[in-house]
Amino acid sequence: MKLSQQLLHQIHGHLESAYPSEGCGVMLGKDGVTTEIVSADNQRTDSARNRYLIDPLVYLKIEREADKRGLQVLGIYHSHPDVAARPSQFDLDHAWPDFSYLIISVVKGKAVESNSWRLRDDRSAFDQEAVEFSG
Amino acid sequence: MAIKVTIPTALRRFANGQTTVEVAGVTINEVLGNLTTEHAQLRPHLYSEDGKLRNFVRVYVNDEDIRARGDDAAVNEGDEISIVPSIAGGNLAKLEPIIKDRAKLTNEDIKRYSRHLILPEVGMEGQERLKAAKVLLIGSGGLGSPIALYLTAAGVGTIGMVEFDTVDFSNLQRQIIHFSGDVGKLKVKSAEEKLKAINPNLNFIPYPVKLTSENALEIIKDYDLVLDGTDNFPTRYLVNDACVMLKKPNVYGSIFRWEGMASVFAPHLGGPCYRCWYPEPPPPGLVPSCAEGGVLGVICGIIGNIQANEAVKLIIGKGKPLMGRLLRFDAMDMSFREYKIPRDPNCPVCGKNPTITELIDYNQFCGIGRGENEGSSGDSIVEKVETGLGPDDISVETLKKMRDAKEDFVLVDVRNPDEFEICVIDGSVKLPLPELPQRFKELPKDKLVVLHCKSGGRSGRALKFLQSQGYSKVKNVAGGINAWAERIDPNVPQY
Repeated sequence: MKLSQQLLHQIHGHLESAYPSEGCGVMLGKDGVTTEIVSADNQRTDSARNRYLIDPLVYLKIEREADKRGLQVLGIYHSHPDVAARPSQFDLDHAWPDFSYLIISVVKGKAVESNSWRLRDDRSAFDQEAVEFSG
Repeated sequence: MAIKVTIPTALRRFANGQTTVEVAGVTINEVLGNLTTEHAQLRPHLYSEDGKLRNFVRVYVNDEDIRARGDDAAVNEGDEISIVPSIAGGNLAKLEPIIKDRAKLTNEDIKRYSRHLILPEVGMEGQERLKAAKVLLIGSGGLGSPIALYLTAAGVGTIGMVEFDTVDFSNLQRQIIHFSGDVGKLKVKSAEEKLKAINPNLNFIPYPVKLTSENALEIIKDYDLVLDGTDNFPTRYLVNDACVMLKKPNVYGSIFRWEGMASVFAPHLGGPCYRCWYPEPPPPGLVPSCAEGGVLGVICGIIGNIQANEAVKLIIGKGKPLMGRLLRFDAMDMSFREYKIPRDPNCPVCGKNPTITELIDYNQFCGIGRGENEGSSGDSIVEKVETGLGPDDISVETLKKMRDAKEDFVLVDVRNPDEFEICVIDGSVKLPLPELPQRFKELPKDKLVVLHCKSGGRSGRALKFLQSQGYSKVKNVAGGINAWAERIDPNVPQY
């Protein structure tokens, strides 16, 4: 996946402010390059420290808006507060294909590691992908 | 009728890159069925293996969630169906400590627990939670022994122990909290002496009673978590149900022969319960107890310590709990295997609409009547059987009289061949219970058949089987060969 350093900083800023809860958002762009992000409210107020959920209707609006503007949903970012930036079994069970899953480990309120993952077509596992900086 | 279906970005590749697809159908189900027939690659992402819509797939008809009207609802010309991802995830590993309180450490504590205190995941905070923790052990047998010793050493402040039994020689091979000099003592008394020797400041609360539907809630409610070290199904279901109702994590372990299993049941923390995995007990007799099948003593230490390990993690809120996972250990292969246990939304105790909302009669639920082993440790059957004889039982004294009087009957030993090597009652016919269904015709129908095993459980099942095959003259020796050894022939060893 590709995004600018500035956007990654923006994502880190959002997730650090969400700490100790998990934060999440949607990445939009074109031709595999993320050009903007939309932060989303974590609906899992019951268990926000270890779960995130984006309201499907909110997601539907984001996607429709993007379609209108000729953009695409390229992936989802979310934080793992105080644990590694690796997908959990729960992440795998709920993953969608063709998305980049950018996971950021936020330790004691500071973003320390960012890794991106893609679901295999047979849903058996995630493969890590490189995070490249554009422009 | 063609209905327009919007495909989310993530799935467009599996629908030839299209944003919307026109599909025929008159109900939501039919439209989605036709869609996934036409574009088969969509199917695994929308439906799970059992043919249900995945729980993170939302379907909207004109922006209305179909869960409101059901997926067999009709669709009309002009309706638009949207498949919408419910974007979810998160880190299951992260758990809040179940112990919110912290108990201040003394200088002596700090010295004692220094190896924990310098471990980053425990530290002062974790150790103070351990000291504040109230842990209940069900049973002080094979599993309860190492659990109690290690949790006491680890600094758990309060340990309750439910155990009605007394120490027997046959316990010492695996119940390492009890020593030779303790034989005959109440197990809770013997355990308390050892635990207090490790940590005199331990708050130890003994319950020298049998856990029952009448007392379980009252005992368990004061504790933060429960470790189940029982070896029988009625108590296991009782502990499970009571823990679900009281929202207490239940750290489960079981052992048999060369194998052991462990898991953590805690629906209130998002995991399954024992009933999600095993909705109903096996028929009585299908799974032999350790008293009947034997168990390698060492296994108890391995499984018990896995339980103790999970208890510590839950208390301090670190690591990935053994929740939703069953760990199975094979000592012969020296291998561990992990099985997923999903939560059952229709579980009768922890599901959405529970049908069991108060404790029931667990002996009846498990199909167990009088004379079966109902104990928590599986070793003190003799007294229980002897407290009252059933219509099909005879005592060892009666058996002795019948033999002395040279009465005409067949004495059948239904134990396993390995047990014949330990001891036999002279003149008995050896017919192991597992072979009975093939070999029962060797037994006469016109003569009295007297069955015995080690302590009466298996021969009781053999009796029921023979009765079902039309044998009317059958008796069961209450207390088995162990009662014979105890009361009739001291030359026969008890085991």
